[in-house]
Amino acid sequence: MRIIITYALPFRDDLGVKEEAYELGRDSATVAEVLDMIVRRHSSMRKFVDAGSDEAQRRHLAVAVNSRMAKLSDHVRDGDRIRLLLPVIGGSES
Amino acid sequence: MKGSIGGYAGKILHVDLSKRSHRIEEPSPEEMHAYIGGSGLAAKRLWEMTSKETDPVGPENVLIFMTGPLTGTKVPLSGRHEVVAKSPLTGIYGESDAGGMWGAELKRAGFDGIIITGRSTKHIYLWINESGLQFRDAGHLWGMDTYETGELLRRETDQKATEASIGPAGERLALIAGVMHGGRDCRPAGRCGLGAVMGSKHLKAIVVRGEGQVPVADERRLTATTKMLAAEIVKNTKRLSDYGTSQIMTALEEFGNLPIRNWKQGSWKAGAEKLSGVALAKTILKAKYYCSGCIVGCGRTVAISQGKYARVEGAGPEYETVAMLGSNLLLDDLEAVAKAHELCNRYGLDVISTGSVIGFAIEAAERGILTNAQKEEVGLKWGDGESIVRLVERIGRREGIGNILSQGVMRTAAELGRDCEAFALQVKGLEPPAHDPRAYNSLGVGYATANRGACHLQGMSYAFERSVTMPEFGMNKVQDRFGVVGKGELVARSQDLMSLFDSLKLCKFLLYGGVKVKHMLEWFNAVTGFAMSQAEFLKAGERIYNLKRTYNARCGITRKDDVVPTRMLREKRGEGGSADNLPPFDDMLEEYYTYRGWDKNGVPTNTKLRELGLEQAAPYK
Repeated sequence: MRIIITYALPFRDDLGVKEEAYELGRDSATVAEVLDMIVRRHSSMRKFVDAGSDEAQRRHLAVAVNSRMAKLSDHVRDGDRIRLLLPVIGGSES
Repeated sequence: MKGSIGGYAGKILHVDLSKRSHRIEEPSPEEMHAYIGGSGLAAKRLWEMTSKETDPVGPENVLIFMTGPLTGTKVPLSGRHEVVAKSPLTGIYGESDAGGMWGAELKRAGFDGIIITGRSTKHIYLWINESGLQFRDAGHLWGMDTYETGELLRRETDQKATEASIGPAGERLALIAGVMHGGRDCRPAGRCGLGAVMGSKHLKAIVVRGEGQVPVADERRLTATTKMLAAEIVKNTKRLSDYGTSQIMTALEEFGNLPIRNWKQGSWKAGAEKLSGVALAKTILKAKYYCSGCIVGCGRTVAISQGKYARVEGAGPEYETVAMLGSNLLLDDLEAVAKAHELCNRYGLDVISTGSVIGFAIEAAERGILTNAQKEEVGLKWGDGESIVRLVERIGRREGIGNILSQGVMRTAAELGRDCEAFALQVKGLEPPAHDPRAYNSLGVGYATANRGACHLQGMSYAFERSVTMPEFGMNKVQDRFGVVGKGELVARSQDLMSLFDSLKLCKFLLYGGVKVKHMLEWFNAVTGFAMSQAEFLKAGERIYNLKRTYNARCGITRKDDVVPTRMLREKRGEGGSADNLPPFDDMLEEYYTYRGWDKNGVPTNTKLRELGLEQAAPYK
């Protein structure tokens, strides 16, 4: 299967890549496995990946699969678009 | 500084502007135990001192500034205070929370709060320090913006002083005017039109300076808890510190939360990135800003040195600004947004209401509801920075079409007529902030039941649908944002918890730092010397929330007013992360009332009021 990974700021600037395709030799993979593949291709992403738990992972980056917030155990499938974003913290106060 | 219990100065300053007199009130420890301080104590005073008949811009309204027991202590992120009055925008309970230095300075000057009544015959400002209170002429300040006012007032009083002031919008009673703090560092109490209350009293500013110490009952216990949590808070909020509150732009766009084109459009990725905190950090960021006692520094100080918007310098746009004055208006020019933000600060306008009413006006123009003259007056267009900046100035001065818009969305829609209600987003008269109930179901019932109108901060339940857990509430995992069952209870419990934040005067970003109820209580007990249990603590939050609701019920608020803006309830976003979701509002509201112990009409029952020790509020029915 083929999936598309897009990188939001600041990851895009750090990697110098906005979007890239990954070919996987199987029909399905978990989000945790996808993150592992990304780290293998971009070692500088290692510091943002903490697949110990969803809570731990959310502190470093947020993963959206087809615009839906994803858990590490969620499965991605052929054609899915995965976006890596800064994690959601805060809003504003007044 | 004297105080019978720790954390409190033990004195509230009552100022009667009509008589140019003042008196000192010493609130009892029992009252502090029951209402904590800040928003809770201010709500109690508003209940006692105003009524259903009180005209919000009449001399009989009261304007309350109240710190909390933790304000000015070494508790992290505790440099906040509450501004409270009967709101001229909504006609009901009004409050707005501010950061900066003002609250801590007031506490160090020896006061927990100030309650202002009456109306001065002349334009004046108040100068408060440990020597006492002075009434000073403000004739020369009237008409000045808040940045100029701050600079001049520090020259006239003390360079280390700080001020709460209004700009021309508040002076001219714009109903979306706020109270600004700290001049160019501007920390607003923007919501509910409280700047108009201050303007109606002919009060330009309150300058404060204090050098006293806030008493703490158990310094060792306070230090131990703070030390234990500080590193964790800093670690968990690093993104907020690095990129400010607008670091969430891209994620919230992805999840279908961002207001785009007056809340009509579902997705706008390119625009969100251009307005994000990361983009801001790479372009116009000059420095971080820390409120008193802050160890995060989410505030942004920006500077633009060249181009169309050169000379913008000072407090920079927050998430609410880049969303409401940016994406909501399809404006992706960050410098134009920063300029509009600065104008809101200088004129003393709430950025949320201002962005909202401009979005409403552009859609009205598009639908042919505005006259050609009104449209041409500023050249209203989506994404046109120059026309949007021009319109902010007109609203601030209440000129031309700006005069109509300065009344907020609800009144503007009523004035224009012609079925505007469908795209006039407001609840009880207050425009919603940049968070969408279609993206977080709980926000629907949260907006409907927030005591000041559409507000995300009075419940902040979406935090528990995004990333925060709260084991004390039995929430060991993040909640499903599109779920239904349990949302009523989630909102009620979140509102009670936020009442505690607002009354202790803690920044709610501590939630993202990993602070839990038990930590808040530990700080409260260590500072005050109380031995409050967790059950009593949570009950105090519930008491405060119910008191405000009862205030509103006395003003005539019932279930008919607990609504969600039509667009958020009936129109799908159509694309993006919340494309097909509409909040299942009726079911959630029913569950909410039941959990609250309110009647079918949304009014707290006498049984509930008695249970909370609010017997004094029961007879109004």
